[in-house]
Amino acid sequence: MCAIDPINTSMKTLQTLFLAGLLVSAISCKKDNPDPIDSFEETISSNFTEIASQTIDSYTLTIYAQSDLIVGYNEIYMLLMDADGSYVSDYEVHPHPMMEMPMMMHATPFEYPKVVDTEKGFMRASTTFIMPSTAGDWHLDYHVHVMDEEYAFSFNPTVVSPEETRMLSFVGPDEKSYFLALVSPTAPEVGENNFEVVLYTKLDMMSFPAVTDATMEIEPWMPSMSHGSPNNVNPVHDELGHYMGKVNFSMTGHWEVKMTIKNADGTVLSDALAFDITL
Amino acid sequence: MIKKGILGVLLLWSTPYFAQVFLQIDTLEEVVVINHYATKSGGPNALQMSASLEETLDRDADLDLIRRGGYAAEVVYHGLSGTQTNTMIDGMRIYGACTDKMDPVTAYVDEQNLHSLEKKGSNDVTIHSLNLKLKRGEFVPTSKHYGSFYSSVNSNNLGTRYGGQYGFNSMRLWLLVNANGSRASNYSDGSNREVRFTQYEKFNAMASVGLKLGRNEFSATLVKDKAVDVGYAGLPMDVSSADALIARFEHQTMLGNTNINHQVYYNSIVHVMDDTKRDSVAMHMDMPGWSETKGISGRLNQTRGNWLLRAQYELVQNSRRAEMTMYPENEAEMYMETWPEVVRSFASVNPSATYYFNENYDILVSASLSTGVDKMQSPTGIKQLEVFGYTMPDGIQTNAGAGSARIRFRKSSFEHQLTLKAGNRAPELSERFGFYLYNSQDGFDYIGNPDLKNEQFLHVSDDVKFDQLGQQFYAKAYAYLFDQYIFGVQEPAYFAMTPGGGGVKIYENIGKAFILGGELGSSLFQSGKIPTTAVISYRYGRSERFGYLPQMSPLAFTLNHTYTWKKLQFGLSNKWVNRYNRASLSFGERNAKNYWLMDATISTNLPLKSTNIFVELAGNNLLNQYYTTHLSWNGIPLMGRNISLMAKWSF
Repeated sequence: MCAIDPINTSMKTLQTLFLAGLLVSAISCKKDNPDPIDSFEETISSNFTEIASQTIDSYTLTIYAQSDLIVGYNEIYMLLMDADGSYVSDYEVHPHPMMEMPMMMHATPFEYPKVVDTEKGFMRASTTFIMPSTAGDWHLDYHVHVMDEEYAFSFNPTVVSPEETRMLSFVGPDEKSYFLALVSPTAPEVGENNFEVVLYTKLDMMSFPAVTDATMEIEPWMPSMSHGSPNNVNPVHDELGHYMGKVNFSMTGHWEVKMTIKNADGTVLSDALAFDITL
Repeated sequence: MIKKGILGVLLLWSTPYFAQVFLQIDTLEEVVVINHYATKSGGPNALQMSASLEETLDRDADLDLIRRGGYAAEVVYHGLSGTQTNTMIDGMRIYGACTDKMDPVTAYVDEQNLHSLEKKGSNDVTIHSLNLKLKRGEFVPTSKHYGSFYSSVNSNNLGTRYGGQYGFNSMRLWLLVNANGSRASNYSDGSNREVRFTQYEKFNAMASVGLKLGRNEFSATLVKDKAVDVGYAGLPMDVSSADALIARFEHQTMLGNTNINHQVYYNSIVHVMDDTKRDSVAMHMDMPGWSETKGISGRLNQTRGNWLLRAQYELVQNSRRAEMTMYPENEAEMYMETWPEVVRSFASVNPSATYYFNENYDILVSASLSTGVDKMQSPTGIKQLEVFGYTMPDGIQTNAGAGSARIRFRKSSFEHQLTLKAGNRAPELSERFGFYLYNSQDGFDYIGNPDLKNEQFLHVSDDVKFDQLGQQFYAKAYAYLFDQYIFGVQEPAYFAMTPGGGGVKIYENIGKAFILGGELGSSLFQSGKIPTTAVISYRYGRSERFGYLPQMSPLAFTLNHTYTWKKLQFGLSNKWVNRYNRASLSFGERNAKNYWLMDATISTNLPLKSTNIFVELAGNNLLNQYYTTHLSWNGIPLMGRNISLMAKWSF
């Protein structure tokens, strides 16, 4: 299992690659087949799964994820290529994820893309799917603004339920629905792990804002042994509804990370939450 | 006169049959002769030939046994813990591979491999060390073959022991091989109830060869020991296999008046626990452990005028790991490293000098310095330590040292010696890196502490002996003072890992502690009809923070008689031990009632041509006492009445 946060890993790989690319370009006056773009693509293809790709006029938008899209928090990466096959570095994206069910439609929580690599226009966004594709059709629409034009890309991805639930929904005493998704650990291991969750609430069918003023407590627990682990750090709000803490796993096996969430008044929203995490 | 005395140091007195006794002239070592009748002294070593190694050791007033089942008892010296005493096999470092101390070093040899046990007092870094000296051949002017076969049976646990030995001694070559087996079913206690999980089975073989080339003597020794199906009544698990391989190559020579000895050795232990025989376990677990040690050591002895100079060195590398895999029903298996692999490497030097002022006075001064490093090899182990907020540096440097002095006065029948030793010891692997090591006695999981400091000790011992006309009296008083004493302290914030466990204890330096003890002994009528020995011993220990120290044996009184009638030898041994009411509750000990053990033997030698048949009938715990000692793990009752019959044919 990989000990390091995969995003950081890929970032580091990318950075290394760019340095390597610079190096190769420096030497390129002598050799004439340096192709950092090929290597960039190799890095992308070896670290990410291509989810879909669509061409509208002269632009092709390709979206990637860490793995298959799952119910829960998904990082979605994107690259835009023009007709010449060059990466577009200057563009804006407005995501519109939507679930289409026989009787209704609803959106799902998401985050706007942020640029990961300025030169290649490589962006990272996120979507927290709150149900699998078996419930209906997911439409992942991206309105891309480039050179003052808007292109409406539309994807129809399949969202599966992961083996271990990574998203919990509950209704608080305030009668609001909440969606709590596990961001990290993605590759849990013995020892200290970053514990990151993201919390959203539902205002209406189309609006799922992040909750930024909750307080959280965690307690890792091994149900088959009835013990926990010491020295955990409760997640605290970082930004955009992301809460960061630390969780310790003293051995491999099946752990539950039990969570209690309170709102800004200290009212318990739920104390019956638990993520199953198997190492 | 003095020189002669000094030379006597290295002499080994050998008489036929039983009476092989060390001539104890100089070394600080006290020697317990194993597997031989010490008829002359008739002392606590007036043994039963069929006694096992542990039973033999148990008769020594300095030693007690922690019993967790019917096999592999752990030897305790003066109530000190296993980490405060260092047990070696013939100068070789060897470390058990079980995190739960189910395999003390003494379990990896058979008494048939051994010549004697040395109780080293002051010339070592540790407070005391026990050295199990292996048998060896001799270079003799006239070649000689010798050998024996023996077998014995026990009534109580239907235990059998059998074995054979062959040896060859000559001018330039000696050979020694022996093979031994033993097995036993569960024993019954003094109320005739079967004590489940006290069975065992063991096989052991040893081969040793010596070669003399000019002034150089070489020897190579191999010991293979394997125990299977060993029950541990005091623990929630048994052992399916405990396997050791011990190998050594030795060189010895004389350069002028300097005796030089070097050895290169290797040993490897694989220890596998087993819970499949238990009626109900919360969850099946696998808990194997490995230990591998490589070492080079040597010593020089030189006599110069009134000086006896000695220097020893050691280079040792020990690698140990143990893991635990648990199999919950319908869930992912759970894995952790109870001893994440750690390589401990150390070097030590130990110079000592004895000066003989005159026939009456001599003084010995000795120093030991050891430096080493513990390196954690396991990435999982490093991650595990993170859970407790420890960051593991590349290695933990460990230095330890000790210094000692002994003054001795001897005049005709009187001897008085005063020994002083001060030093410190590095934390043991479990104390430093153990990860949820379950102690079934106190019900706590123990966690190591990489930040532990060395434990400091000061040891004082005063021994007086008086010997006149075959009546010998001795008195011994000793004290151990500790600072930074290493002890498990409960951490209420942590969860026990073991289902049903009481919590977690972390090893800490808890400050001061002391042990006081003494022994009074006499050996009477040695040339009379009924040679008798009597020994009274007592120990008391306390720590500043946690009350009584564990393992302090209560008042004990032993009385032995021997008697010879025609060709029959009779032995009678009575041991009375007072109740134990100073249990260390913070160590999970429990009090024990007083008990009285009576043993008796009748034996004879039947010459058969040039060979001899020795037959012995022995009875142990004749009163069929139901008893547990202060060291019976979880209070398991010990063996009730047992009658054993042994025959040994020797040539």
